[in-house]
Amino acid sequence: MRLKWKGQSLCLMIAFLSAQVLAGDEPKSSDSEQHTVYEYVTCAVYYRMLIGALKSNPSDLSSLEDVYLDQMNRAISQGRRAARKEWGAQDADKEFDLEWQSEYGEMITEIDKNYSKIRKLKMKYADSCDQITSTGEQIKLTGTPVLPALALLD
Amino acid sequence: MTNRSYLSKPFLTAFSDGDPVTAGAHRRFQSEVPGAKDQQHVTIPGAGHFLQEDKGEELTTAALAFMPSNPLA
Repeated sequence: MRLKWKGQSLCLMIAFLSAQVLAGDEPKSSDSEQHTVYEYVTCAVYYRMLIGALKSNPSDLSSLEDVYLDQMNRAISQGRRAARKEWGAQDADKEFDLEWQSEYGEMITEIDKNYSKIRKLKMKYADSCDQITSTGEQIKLTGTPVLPALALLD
Repeated sequence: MTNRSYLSKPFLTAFSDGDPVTAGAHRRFQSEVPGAKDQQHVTIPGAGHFLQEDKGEELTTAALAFMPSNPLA
């Protein structure tokens, strides 16, 4: 009887662990598309502009390019996935491109086609874009936004 | 999509093979721009979004090859 109880307990524990493992395979909530296409594209363009600013003025901070590139690519991937949800596979790329062109034009105008004015964009987008493109894992590991170094530019 | 049918001048596409932003856009240019017909379009490997910086030499080579094959009328 006691052995049988232990067996049941063991089965329950295995079932519980299996459920945990399966839950771990699910995309983390922060990795799924919780934001709009507009938000992802805005942040992707924002990071693209930061990279452009670094490339136009090489410095010791040039190693940040890879970090921003990673952020840009992540925002693009999430934005494309969100676009497919929003418009379907057939129109997603076209709509994404239009959104990109619109945002890019807006930001270029905002800095007067002059990367030395990149601070304007940072003041406007840095905090929200850091949050939007940060992964739950990175937040868990560091306890801080992924890109505290954003403030170092300028 | 923007109407590109008025672009009748010689037109070359030289896209990166690894740009997540513009991936696939060369096909639209090549099919919609009259001046892109029968050109020696190139896809430059190993570059990302910043093609000029990533593979500037390859891009210049493509542009230099394009010019003599499309002399001014």
